[in-house]
Parts: sequence; structure tokens; C-alpha cells
Amino acid sequence: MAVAPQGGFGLTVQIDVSATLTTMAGIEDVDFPKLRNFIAETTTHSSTNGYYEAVATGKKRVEPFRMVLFWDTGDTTHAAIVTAFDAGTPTSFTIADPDGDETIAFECIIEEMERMSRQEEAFKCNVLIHPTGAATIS
Amino acid sequence: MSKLPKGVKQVEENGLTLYEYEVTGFKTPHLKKLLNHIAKHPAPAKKAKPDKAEEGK
Repeated sequence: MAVAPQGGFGLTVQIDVSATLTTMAGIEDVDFPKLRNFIAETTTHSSTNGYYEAVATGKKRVEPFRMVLFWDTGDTTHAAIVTAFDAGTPTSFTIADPDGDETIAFECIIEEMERMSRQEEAFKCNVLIHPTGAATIS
Repeated sequence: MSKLPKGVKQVEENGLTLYEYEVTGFKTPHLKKLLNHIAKHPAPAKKAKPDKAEEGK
């Protein structure tokens, strides 16, 4: 079957607001979290032709990622970011591609909030999201 | 307003108007994206009704 590419515009992000996953408003852009396998080098002095060798350690990680919001403290999902930052405890989060083929769900801690007010731009907040535990992809 | 596809309802959430596909629970503000989603996740086929001759047995 031929590949049917989808456009990158229109992703959806949800955050826990009072125990309900709620669609976030005002997202300018967001990176998807990178999934990482920790790899250890196992190259030896007798490795064939001197080529690097490796093994998966078994440790995995959902890497931190950034989301830029048009910042509005009156918005419930933006307020949930502030609440999660203050609490420092993991909060539920999901991110789905525009066509909803995959939804990645995980718990995360809000690591950084960087408000930005540049003269020729809208007022924004750059949020660093730090996942903890496993991601579920459905 | 045009009629929404079967299994789709409009919901208000956090000040956003979203289209929700009841089969998967996927929500998006973009109808075109939802139609793509539905094409990839069709509703499961309904069970065929038992044959009348079978029912009479």
C-alpha cells in the first residue's frame, strides 16, 4: 500500500485539569517527545575491522520536550501548567498527531516555564515538559 | 450547517469547538483531520442479523 503522508498542522495536546484530560488551547508549536533507548558501547580490541559495537542496556526514556504557548493565564489548561509547575508532581499529558493515528500518553513534570515578550511577537511561554515513566502509544 | 458524519459530535472544551469521533474518542478542531482519522479507524461492522430461516428453527 502506498504511503499516505499527513500534514503536520493540527496536532492536539491534552493536559490533566481536575482529573479530566482537556485539550490545550493556544499552542504555537510543540515538539513530540523523543523516545530513547540507552545504548552502551561494547567495542573491543578484537571487534571486526575496528567497527564500533553496542548493546541496548534495557533502560529507556521519554525525553523532555518543549511547547510554546500564546500565554493566557485565564485559560484553564495554561493554569494547569502553572499548577503542575508549583506542585512539582507528575501530571497526565497526551499528544496526538493531526490525524489522530497515534496518541502518546505519559506522566510529566513541568520543568521550566519561560515567558517571552518580544517587541514584534505575541506574548508567549516556552514550557519544558519532563516526562517520567513509560509512554503509552495507542 | 452541514450534517456531521455518523459517529461524530461537536463538543465544547476549554473554549474550543472540537469534533469528537465516538468510536475512538479522538478530538480535533479540524473536521478534515477528523475525516482522515475516521478513514483510518472505521467503526466496527455491525453483527449480521440472524437468518430468518435460522430464527424459525
